[in-house]
Amino acid sequence: MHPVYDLVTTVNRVSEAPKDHMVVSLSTLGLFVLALVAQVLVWRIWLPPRQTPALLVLFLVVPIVVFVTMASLGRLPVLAPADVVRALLFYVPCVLAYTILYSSFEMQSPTLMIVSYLASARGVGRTEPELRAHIGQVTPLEQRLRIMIAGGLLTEDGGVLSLSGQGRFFANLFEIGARVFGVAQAIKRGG
Amino acid sequence: MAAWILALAPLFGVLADALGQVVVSHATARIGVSIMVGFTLGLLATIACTGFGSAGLQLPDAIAAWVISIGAFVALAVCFWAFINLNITSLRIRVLRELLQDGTISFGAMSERYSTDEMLSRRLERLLNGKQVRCQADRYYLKSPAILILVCLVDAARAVAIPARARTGMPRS
Repeated sequence: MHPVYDLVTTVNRVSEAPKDHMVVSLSTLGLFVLALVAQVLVWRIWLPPRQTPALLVLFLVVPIVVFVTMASLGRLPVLAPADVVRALLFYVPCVLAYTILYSSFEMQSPTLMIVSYLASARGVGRTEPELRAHIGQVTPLEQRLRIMIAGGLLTEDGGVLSLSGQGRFFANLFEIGARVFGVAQAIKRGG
Repeated sequence: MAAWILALAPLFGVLADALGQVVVSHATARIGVSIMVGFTLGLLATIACTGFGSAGLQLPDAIAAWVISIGAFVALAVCFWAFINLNITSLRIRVLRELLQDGTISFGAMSERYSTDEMLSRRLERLLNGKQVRCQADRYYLKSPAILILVCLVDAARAVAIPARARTGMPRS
C-alpha cells in the first residue's frame, strides 16, 4: 500500500470524538519534555556549530518524528481545532522561551559575571579595578562584531560598518519595540 | 465558544500583558514597574479566560487545562519580557540600532563607544539602580541574594543543557 494512502486511512479511521483535556495537555507537555531530553542527549553526542538554529530545528523535528511514528502505528489522534490551537500555544512559546534562556546558558552575560565575582568576595567587596580586570576577560568587541558580520547582520567595507538587509530588519524591529514599549528612556539611563 | 476561549486564554493574557506594559511605561517611564504591572494584568486575564473556559470540565481535565493555560502564558510572558530586556541590555541590539541611526560607523569609533570601561560602568549603574549591588568606600558588594540565586540557577541549567566541552564562559552580547 502507498504510505500516503496508509496515512490518510489511519487518520480517517481514528475516532473523531473530542479528546480529553488531560490527554491533550499531558501529551503536549510530554512532547516538550521529550524534545528537551533529546536536546540534552544529542548535544552530548554531537555539538552543533550553530547551537541556537540547531535547537529550533530539533524542537521542530521531534514532534514530526513522534507524529509520523504514531501514524505508522495507527494511533494518530484526530484533535478538535481548539485542542490543536491549545497545544500549539503551549508548545511553541515554551520552545521560544527555552531558546531565549539557552542563549544565556551558551555564553555568560557580563552582568552575571560581575554578580558571581562579587559573590565570591564573601563580604570583602571588589574594587572597580578588580572588576575591570575581571570583565576584561569578555570577548573583545571587535570579535563580536566579526561574529555579527559572519552572521549576516552587518557588512564591512574598509573598516567601516553598516547594516545588511537582515540587520536593518532586526534594527527596525527593535527600534519600533523600543518606542512602543517605552524603553527608550531606560536605554539612555543604561537600564 | 468556551473551548476556544480556553484555547486562546494565554494569547489574551499576553495581549493584556503587552497593553498594560505599554500604558504604564508611557505613563510612568518606569520599565520595571510596567513589566510587573503588565505581567499581573496578563495573568489575571489568563485566569479569567481559563476559569470561564474550564467551567463544567471534570476535575482532572480542569486541572490539566489550568496547568497548560498558565504554563503557556508564562512562556509567552518570558518571550515578551526577553524582547523588552534585550532592547535595553543587549550590546548587539544597541549596535544595530546605532547603525540604523548613524548609517555607518568605523570599527575604531565603535570600540570607543563600547569599551570595557563603558561596559562595566553601564552594568554597575544598572545593578546599583536596581539595588542589587551597593557601593561603600569604593568597594562594591552584592546586596540582593535574589540575583545570586538567579546566577546559581543559570549555572545549574547550563551544566545540564550544555556539555562541559562547549561551555565557553565567554559573555554574550
